[in-house]
Amino acid sequence: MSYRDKAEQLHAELEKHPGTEDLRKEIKAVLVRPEHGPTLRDRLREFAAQHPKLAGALQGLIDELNAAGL
Amino acid sequence: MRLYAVLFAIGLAVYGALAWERLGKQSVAPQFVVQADAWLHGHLDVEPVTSDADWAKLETVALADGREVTGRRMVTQPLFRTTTGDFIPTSQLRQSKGVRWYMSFPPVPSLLMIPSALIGGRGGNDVIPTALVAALILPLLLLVLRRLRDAGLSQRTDEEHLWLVALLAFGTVLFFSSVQGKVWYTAQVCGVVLALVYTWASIEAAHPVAAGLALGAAALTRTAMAFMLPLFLFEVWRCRRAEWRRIALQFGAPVAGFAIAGMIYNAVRFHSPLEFGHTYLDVRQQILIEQFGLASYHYLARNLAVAFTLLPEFPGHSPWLQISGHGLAIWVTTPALLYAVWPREKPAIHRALWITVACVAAPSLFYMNSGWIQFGYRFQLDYIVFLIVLIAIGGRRLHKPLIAACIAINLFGAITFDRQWQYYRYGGNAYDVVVAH
Repeated sequence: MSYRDKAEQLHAELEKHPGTEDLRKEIKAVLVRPEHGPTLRDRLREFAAQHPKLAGALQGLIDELNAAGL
Repeated sequence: MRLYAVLFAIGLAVYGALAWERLGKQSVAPQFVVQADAWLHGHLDVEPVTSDADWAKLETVALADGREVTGRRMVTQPLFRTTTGDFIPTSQLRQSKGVRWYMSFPPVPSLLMIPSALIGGRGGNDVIPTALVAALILPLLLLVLRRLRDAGLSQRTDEEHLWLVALLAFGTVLFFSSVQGKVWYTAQVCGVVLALVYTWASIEAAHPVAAGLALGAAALTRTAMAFMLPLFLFEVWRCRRAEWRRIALQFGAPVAGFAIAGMIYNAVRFHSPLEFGHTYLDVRQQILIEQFGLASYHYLARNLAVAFTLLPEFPGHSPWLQISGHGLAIWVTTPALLYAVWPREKPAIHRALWITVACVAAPSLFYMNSGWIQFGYRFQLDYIVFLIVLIAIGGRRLHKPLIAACIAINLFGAITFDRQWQYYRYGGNAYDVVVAH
C-alpha cells in the first residue's frame, strides 16, 4: 500500500473523529505538495501522542511517508 | 489506418501501465473534473475545496460604509483588492460574507472531463481521460510527419517517423506528464494534442478552419499557446498569399469565437475579460504575484536557469541521485532535441517554426512559476511539437541509441515522479535555491 493509499485511508478514518479538520487538511495537502511531508509527519506524531487509539493508523502513514522519501 | 490504431493502442498501453495504481481513482488535483461537474449543475464556481492545490478564491466582504465588495485579502499588505481593481484597507472590512472558489486554469480540458463528471460526478476520474488524450499524440504526430513529407518539406522514411513518434511520446517530459491526471499535467497533454492538430492544419495553410479551431482551443488550454499564430501566418504567406482574405476569414472566425467565449467566461466570474483567475490563486506564489505580477522580467533569470541549466544532483549518499523540484533542463531530459539546433537542411518552413517556438516559449520564461514541481521543464510541451518537426525537416540522421537514452531518462521520471520522492529535492529552501551549490 502506497503512502497515498495510507493517507487516504487515514483521512477517511479521521472523518469519524470531530476536531480533526486541520490534520485532515494537512493530509490532503501532502498528496499535492510533497514539501508538506515533514510538517505532516510532526503533526501525526503529536496527534498520535494525544490519541493512542489512533496511533497504529498514524504510525502506518508515518512509515509510508518515510518509505516514499517524504 | 491500421498503423495509426496500433500507435494509439501502444500509447494507451504504455501510459496505462505507467499510471497503473492511479487509473482507478481521481487524481489529487482534479480541477478539470470538478469544473465539468459544476457546469453540469449550472454553476461556474465550484463547491468548497478540500486541498490547497491552486484554486482561485474570491471573498465577498461587507465594508464599514455598508457596501459589499468582492476580491481577495492581500498577503503582503493590509489591503483588500477588489475585482474592479480598488484597494481597500482591511481596517474598513466589517464582516466576511463568504467565499467562492473557482477553477482558474484555462477551461478547455474541462470539456474532455464532462463524460467523467457524468459518470462519477465531482469525484470523476481524470487519470484515464488524460491517458486517452495522451495516446492520441502518437498517431497524430505520425499524421503530421507524413503531411510534411507529402508537402515536400521532409524526406524522412516511415521508420524514421516512428522513431520520432517514440521520441515525443516516451523520450520527452510528455511521458511523466501523461501518467499523472492532475490539472497541470493534463493541460500540458491536451496542449500537445492541439499543437499537433494546428501544425497539421497549418502546413501549406491547407486547413484554415481546423487551424483556427486548434489555435483557439489551445489558447484556452495553455494561454501561451495563443502565440503559435506565426506558423500559420508564414504558411499563408508562403503558399496561399493570393487568397489571404478568404483564408483570414476562415481562420479568424473560430479564433474569434474562442476568444470571445473566453472573455465572457472571465468577465462573468472575475469582472474582467482578461482576468482568467490566477490573480486570485490561494498559493504560496501569491507573495510574488502581488510584488511583481503574474509575468515579469523578475522571473526570467530563474526560468532560464530551470529551462536550460538544471542538472541531476549527486549528493554522495542515498539516494545517490536527486532532481530539483524545479526539474531538469530541457536538453537533459531530451538530449535528442539538440538535433533541432543542428539541422542538415533548412526547408522553407524552418524559420517560421523557430519564430513560433520563440513566441510560445517567451511568455513562460517571464511567468511567475517555473513549472514546480516537476521531473523536467514541462512548459517546453507548449512548443515541443515544433521542435520535433524541426528535427524531422532538419534531415540529420537519427541515432537510435540517443533516442533510446531519452526514453530511458524519461521512463525514470514516469516511474518515480509522485511515487518516490526521495529522488526529488523539494524541502527546505529547494524552491528558492534553484541551483544547489
